Amino acid sequence: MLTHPTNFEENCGKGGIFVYLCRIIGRRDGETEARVNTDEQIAEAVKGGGREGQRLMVSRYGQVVFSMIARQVPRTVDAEELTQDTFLRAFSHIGSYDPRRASLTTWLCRIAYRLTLDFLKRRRLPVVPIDDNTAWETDISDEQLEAELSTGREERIQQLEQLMDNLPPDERLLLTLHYFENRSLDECSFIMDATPHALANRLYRIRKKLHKELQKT
Amino acid sequence: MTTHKDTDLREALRRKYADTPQLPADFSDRLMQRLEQQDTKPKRRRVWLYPAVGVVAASLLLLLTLYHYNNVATKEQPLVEKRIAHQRNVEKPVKPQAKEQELAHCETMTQKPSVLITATPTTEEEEQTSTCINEQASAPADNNLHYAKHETTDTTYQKPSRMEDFIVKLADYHQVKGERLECSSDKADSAIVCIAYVFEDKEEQNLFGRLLQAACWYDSKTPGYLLNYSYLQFFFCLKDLQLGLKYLWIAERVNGRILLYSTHSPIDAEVSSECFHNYRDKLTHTNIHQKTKAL
Repeated sequence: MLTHPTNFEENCGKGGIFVYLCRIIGRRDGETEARVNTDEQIAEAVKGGGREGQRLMVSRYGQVVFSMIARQVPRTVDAEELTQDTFLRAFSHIGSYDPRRASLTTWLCRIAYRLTLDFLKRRRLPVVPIDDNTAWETDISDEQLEAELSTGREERIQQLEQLMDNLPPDERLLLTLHYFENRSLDECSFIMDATPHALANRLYRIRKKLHKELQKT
Repeated sequence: MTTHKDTDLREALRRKYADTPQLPADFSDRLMQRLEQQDTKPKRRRVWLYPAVGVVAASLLLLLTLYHYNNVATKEQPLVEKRIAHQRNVEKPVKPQAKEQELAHCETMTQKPSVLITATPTTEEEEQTSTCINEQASAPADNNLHYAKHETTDTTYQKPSRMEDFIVKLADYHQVKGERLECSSDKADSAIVCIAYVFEDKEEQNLFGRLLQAACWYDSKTPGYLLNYSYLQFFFCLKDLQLGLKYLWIAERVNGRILLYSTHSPIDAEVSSECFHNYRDKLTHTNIHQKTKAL
């Protein structure tokens, strides 16, 4: 509630704390409700081919999409171009957007994910991949993994930062979406076009792989 | 789904992506500009595409049609013409692979159980496995006479009459005259044709070997197929269901000579074996069952 700056004194003077709180609550509910409608309204506006709807979509979700792409692509110029491609594709395929399945931002991220992966595959950036075959040698439980990846040690964190670059793009993207952007596995599954269960397994393998690499160093 | 803490991982990601660049302020304008360029750009009408596809499709169809008709014409060429064309060719050495194939085919046949035919004379027989022999003969006019190798593109079906034709050629080459026998129970029935030949039993001729090789032309699944042979006797039956005929070839060694009977008759006709016995007696001047006289 307190994220919405409001003049407390001004509101209290007009109706006291009760009115202030009601306004805050009402505004939040209103904004949430308006946001849901806005997603659909934006989609409808874009369907009509109107430039206003398109601009609104870009202004609202452009940064989110761009950030997601820029974290995976080395050059900012490429990230911008991919972001443009994402929105162009979204405009031309707006008819396929179903608000019941996902929010507009999630739907846009799904398009961005595919374009980014294609781009990275075409570029074939030179990385030294972490050997996936040995990931199954040590049998470690989920809890143990979590403990190993939650040590709080500075050295461990720096190592993980470096190891991230050697992950395949889709694995790195999954970690980014889930851990950095705090998206649920359900949301990640929509973006990555995989089942939540498959993503959970993939996540486990990635964590195990990272743990294995940490043990080597 | 449980959410893992993995605080080290989260911190590593946070540090890594802390400096995520911001979207340029003019991004929206540039995007709209690009959109407008796309909208104003006239869509290339691929007018040429459809006629080109049509031409390619028509060309392919034409090529397929020509290929098909070419193939049909080749197959319809009479086999006789092919045979003549082949016979006119210079004598070619037999390919080792063809020899091995025939040897293998003949060897498998020797392992098949043989059936003793009661119609044949009951002489003592020595069974021994026979092999397909390559004889180094003098250059004949027809390769098949001295080595019953046939080269034909049609490997699926061999007409039984080919065996008969082969025997006729063999007889012509060795200047053996055939004698027609009456082998029907009803003497008025002329549909049964039986020709008897008497060959010299010479090792260099190796008639039994030639007959066996000719028999190897036929697949064991040929209708009426029945083959039985030994050192003294050769017995081979076939049916031609297309012409409604059955064929019978019997050869036996008798006193330094080989009697060869070549018979064809309607499938349902009854062929009497007495004609064979009579001819044999006439030739040997003795009744084999009585064994009164030796040649």
